[in-house]
Amino acid sequence: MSDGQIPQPRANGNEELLSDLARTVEMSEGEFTLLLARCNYSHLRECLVKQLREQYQLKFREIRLEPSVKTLYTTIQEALGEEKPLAVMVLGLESVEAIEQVLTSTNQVREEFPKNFPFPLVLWINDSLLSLLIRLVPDFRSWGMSFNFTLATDELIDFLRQKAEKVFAAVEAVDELVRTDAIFSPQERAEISSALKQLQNQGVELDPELEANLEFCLGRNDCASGQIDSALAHYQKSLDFWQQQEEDEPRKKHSLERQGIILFHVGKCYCYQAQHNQQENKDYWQKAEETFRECLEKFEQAGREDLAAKFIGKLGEVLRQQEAWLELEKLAQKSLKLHQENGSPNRLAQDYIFLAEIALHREQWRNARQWAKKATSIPTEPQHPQRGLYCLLLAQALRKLGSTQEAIDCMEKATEENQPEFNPRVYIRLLSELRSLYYEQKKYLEAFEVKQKQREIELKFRLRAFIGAGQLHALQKELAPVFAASGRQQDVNYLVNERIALPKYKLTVLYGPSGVGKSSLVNAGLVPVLQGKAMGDRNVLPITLRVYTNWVKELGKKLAEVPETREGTENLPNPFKKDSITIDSLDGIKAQLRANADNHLLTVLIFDQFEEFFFVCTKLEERREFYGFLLECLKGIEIQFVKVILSLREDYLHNLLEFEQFAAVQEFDSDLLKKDRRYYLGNFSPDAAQKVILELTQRAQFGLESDLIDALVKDLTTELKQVPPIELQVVGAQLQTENISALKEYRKKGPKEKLVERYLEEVILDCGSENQRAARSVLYLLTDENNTRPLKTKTELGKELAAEADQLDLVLEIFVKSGLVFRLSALPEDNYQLVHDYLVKFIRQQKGSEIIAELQQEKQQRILIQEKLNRFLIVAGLVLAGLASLAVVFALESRKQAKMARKQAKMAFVRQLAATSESIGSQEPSLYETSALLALESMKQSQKIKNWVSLEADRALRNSLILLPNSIARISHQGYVYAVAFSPDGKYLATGSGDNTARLIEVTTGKEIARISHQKDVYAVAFSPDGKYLATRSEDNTARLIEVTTG
Amino acid sequence: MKVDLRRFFRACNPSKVLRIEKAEERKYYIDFSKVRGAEIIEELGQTIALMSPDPTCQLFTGHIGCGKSTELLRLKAELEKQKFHVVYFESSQDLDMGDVDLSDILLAIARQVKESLEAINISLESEYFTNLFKEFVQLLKTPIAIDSGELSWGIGKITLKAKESPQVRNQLRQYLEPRTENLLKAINEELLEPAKLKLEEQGKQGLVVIVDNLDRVDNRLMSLGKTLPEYLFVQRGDQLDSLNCHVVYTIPLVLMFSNEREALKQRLGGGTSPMVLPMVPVRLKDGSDCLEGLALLRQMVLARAFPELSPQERLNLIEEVFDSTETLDRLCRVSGGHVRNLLSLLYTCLRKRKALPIMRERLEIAIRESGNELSLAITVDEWELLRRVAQSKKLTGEDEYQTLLRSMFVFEYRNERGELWFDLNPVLAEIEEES
Repeated sequence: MSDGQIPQPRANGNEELLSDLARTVEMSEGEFTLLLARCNYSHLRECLVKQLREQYQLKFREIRLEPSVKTLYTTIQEALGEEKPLAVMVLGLESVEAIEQVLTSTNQVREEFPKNFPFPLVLWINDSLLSLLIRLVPDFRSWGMSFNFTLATDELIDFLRQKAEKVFAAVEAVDELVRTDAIFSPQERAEISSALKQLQNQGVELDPELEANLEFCLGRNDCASGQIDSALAHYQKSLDFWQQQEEDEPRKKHSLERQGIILFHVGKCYCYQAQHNQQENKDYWQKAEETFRECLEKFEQAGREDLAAKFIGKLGEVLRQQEAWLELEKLAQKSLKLHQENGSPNRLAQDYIFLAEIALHREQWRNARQWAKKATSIPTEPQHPQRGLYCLLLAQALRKLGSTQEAIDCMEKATEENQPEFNPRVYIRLLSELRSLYYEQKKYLEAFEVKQKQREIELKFRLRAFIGAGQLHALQKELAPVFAASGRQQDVNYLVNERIALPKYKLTVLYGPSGVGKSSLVNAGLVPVLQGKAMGDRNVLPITLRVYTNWVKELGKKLAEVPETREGTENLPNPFKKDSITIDSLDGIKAQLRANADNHLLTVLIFDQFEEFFFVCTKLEERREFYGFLLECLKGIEIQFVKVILSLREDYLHNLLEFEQFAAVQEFDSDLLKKDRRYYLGNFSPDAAQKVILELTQRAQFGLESDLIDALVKDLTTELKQVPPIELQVVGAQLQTENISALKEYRKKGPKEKLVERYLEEVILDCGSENQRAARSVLYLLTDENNTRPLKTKTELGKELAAEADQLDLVLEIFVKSGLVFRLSALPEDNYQLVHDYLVKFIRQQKGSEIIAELQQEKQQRILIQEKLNRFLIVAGLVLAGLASLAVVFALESRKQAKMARKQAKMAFVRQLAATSESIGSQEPSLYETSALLALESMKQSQKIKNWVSLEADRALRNSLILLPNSIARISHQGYVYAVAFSPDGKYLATGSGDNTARLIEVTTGKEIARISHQKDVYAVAFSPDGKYLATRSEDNTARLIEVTTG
Repeated sequence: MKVDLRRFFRACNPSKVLRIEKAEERKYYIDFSKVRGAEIIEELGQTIALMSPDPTCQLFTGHIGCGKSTELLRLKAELEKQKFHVVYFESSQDLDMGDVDLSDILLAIARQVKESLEAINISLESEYFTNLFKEFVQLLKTPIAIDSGELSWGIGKITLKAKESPQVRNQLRQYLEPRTENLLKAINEELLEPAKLKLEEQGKQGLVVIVDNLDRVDNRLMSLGKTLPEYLFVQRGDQLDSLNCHVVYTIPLVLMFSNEREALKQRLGGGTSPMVLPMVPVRLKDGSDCLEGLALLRQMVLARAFPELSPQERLNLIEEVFDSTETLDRLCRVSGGHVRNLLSLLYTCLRKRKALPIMRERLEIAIRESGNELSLAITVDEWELLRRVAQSKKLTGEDEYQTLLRSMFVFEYRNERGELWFDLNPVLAEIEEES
């Protein structure tokens, strides 16, 4: 940031220091020496560097760091290449983004510096970097000698004055519609605060004008970081000063201008508060209106119509917020005039928009269309925050005028052209309007997709707390905070830091119940964190695979994609620029993995929803090919620097045993799936659930009463003391949809079951009114009388449903997209399954009987039709007998497949029971009994399945039985038992009780061999060290001693 | 005799590490072992003798450069007298201290033990290690010649390559780390067990491995939220502890203040605390000088100016370097016995034109600047903490260690009676007094 206006700093105290530095560099020639040149001001720094070069004729190589650098050592090494400079000077460290990472990695390889850099190294730092060095890498710092360059007091004051004026100038110059918050770079901000600190330390008092202007800057700073109250206080101080100046006639105009600018900022603060305080927003809008009016007055008094024209728009926005249409109209007319004389087209467009909105409000559709068209016809830059609004208004007007298609076209164009981040609220309104248009047009699928997009954007911009039954996908960086609040950050941290980062682990099996958020964790947590992360000297490249129908091709495709160039990794070497290559063989994949390793990448292969692999790859040879590939990755000889994560549902974990066996046969490892290679992702504990709800809702400013959260968590907690994340998300999403934030409402509209029902109802509605019945039936058909979730194919569903194949397609598509239903790839046809068991009972309750009746009626009808058909067939059959028998064979085959699928579902249920038993058995003793019962149930269920023995059930039962306490003997007293003691050889047990007796028991048999009677309670018993005697102590003032063997 | 200023200046560079093996640099070397107690070594030896033939694992630590190696070499001599076969080695020769993992340490131990056994004509065959070497060669894709006389199944060549090249190191590690258990098993079953039998035949009491310089393992924070020493010695401590012979590891001092200290004791120390060797004492608990320590520090400074002279001759030439003996003493005292601190102050004084002799005033400026700089990083709360430390002379917990001792705000002192106390870094103490 070079500024011509800043006067050249004088050398004064720096002169001597510079000469010291030059001298040190010369004296250290040929040897590594670390010199820390400390300077807080970039203009001073540049000037000093220049002086060193010119005045002191110092020869050094200058290296300027990019903000994206990840290491210091290699950056210097690469910059130098073969060059052997006399000295090196490194600049720009203060602007490095990942500074902590850079410093720690520098410390790690600090031994390399003296070895490979035989020259003095001058590192330019500032005060905050020095603090960081002292704290983070004291060892590295202690190697260095520092030189502290400073500015003189008057230079500091000049510096500040210039910076403050820059702000006012920038505000005046800026086109108000463009955001004005970033006038200073972070470095400049740091420089300003260090200058202030230094002046404060020197006890220098600033003149009131500079002080007032700095107050204004501080206010803007606070405003940018959301500290509105503090910002207002700063603005007020600045305003006070400039108001006094108004008295001074020659300065009057200047003072009025300044006041106008400050007032405008104050008004913006009130707007911010109005937007963030739903309850009191009326007052704040009122205050904002008053302030903006005052601001305009000041500009008018100062005769600065140009400034008034610039800042008038904000007042219009406030009036619109207050729905003060009459006032707004007046203002718009005035503003239109101002802008016709002074303004830019942007501002004119805004005036038209005000007029369009007024017209819409007054239901003057034609007028509205006219104004909106006028606004949209003005060309604006694509980032224009209001552009979306123009289109929205135009579309609304068009819709009212019956030009639906035109409205849709307009909206589609608007959603494509605009980026949600320019104005998320408007964008969301656009989407919701578009959705309702689609819905009206019976384009239900499009409507639903738009709705989902809307949800996603709401999530991203903190307007929505819960995601419902879907999973977090899209690895946008912006979704990371949503994920952070989802209670899974710890799991990600563990996986990244303790698994991926340590060479010790090559394989991690991530498993857990369905709906626990494994895929969300992978997509929204793991992958964004890993992407481009540096680990040691490598950058991580995560590759996620989710489809296994042709895994070689899929994996090849993913590997061939150029790793997304992200900040800091532009120079990431990739020999296969652009997707010019196709990898479609195993050898190709291996070659690419080797190339990755050579290019300093650590490839992390993530196989998500890996259970699908077993559905798809039904042939053993196919699976063995994959196992062979995995094993090569794990061996690390032919393919190096690859890590593997297998993520799958716990009830499919046993499928991996085949892989383990494979590895054992190959003599790689006989215990591939041992505990430290597995990672269990379980349901939330109630406490964790509470925290998650709190974080999610606070983030989205969807405040829930704390009693409501308590009640909610209580309702969500299962008897196993767990909270399933999916249920939390579904219920939470419905709470927000219905805007339930108080316990009273929840009690009225709850309990959670009702909310889940209505959640379902909404998805059914999304399918369109004429498809509702079909939707309801499909959900119903995906349940059965045993309250489980059968797998069904589309054909099966179609048969049971009264035809209408396109309806079925639509309904299934929407269900899958909504996350209510899973699609499981299988041959010959995909299976569909409800996402979670707990949905089953809601679906069966929901108008269940009506649907059954309807279904039966339909069946009846079908039978009638069938009979008619049959009669026809008898005739035709004679002819087609041969073909028919062939058809029967096919039919039998498909029935067999369906039966298989049902059997698999039952097996999965058994496994799930067993897995649950095991997982809770490892948690707390109070659940041991439940664990055993679950294992027992699992065993019982498994016996119902023909030709199948469940090893999991067997193991669960054995493991849980061990957990149950095994009582050998029960010794009954008639009072409290105060004391027990074993004899030293462990053969005998003595008890002392409130029933006035002490007893001696033989441990192995539990037999009582002696009883000692006292008159009162026996408080203590003790054996002699040799075990021969037993002493008792009683409240009856006696102690007795007996011989153990004789009693 | 005049001081060679350029040479003196370069000898004081705090980023320079003294290489004892270089004759020229050996002249700068001062032996501080006289000013420290020796009971610690006795105790280590006794434990080994008493527990034998059961394996033991003991930990030893102290400030960097306080003479641990000298003491450990004494231990070696002591144990050899008792007929133990002792393998002593400086791990820094085999490992890169900025970047160490468990398998690196295990390989280094295996190599050293094997080589030392060969030296007394005990040769062992190992299928595991032979295969391992083959796989290494395959892995690195570079042909490595191995001569028949190779002492360590070729591991020596590999570890040397690994130390020099992070690339090779990482390659080996990604291969070997996931199989550390197999490696451990092979070391125990195919190396240590047969070695012990053969040593017994030769009339030896047992096998002792002393791993020196592991305290230099960088204290960097790993991404897993632990420091490298915590990861190596605590998280993987039970694996370091499972070698089937007597082992003495040197560990970084930081671990003594870590929250993981208890875990360290349990997992690696077999329930006992590590033995700590103190740093150069410059003053006693009552604030008075420790004359012996001070005398040695003086020599350390003067040796850099007059490497060729005897200690007494150097003392006679103090005024060539300093305006007075007091100035030299002031420098030594204010360093708190921290050698690098002392060099850093000295270095700052020497960078001026007309540097010699160093005037008291110049030293005072350097001291003040050094204090100001440190105080930049100190928050208000930490000043409060520091005041408490100055009063109580105590430090509690890892946080205080991390913020205070590690950042060199506070120093640790011990006296000959083994008493331990903490006090502010003298350069800070003076700022604190002023304010």
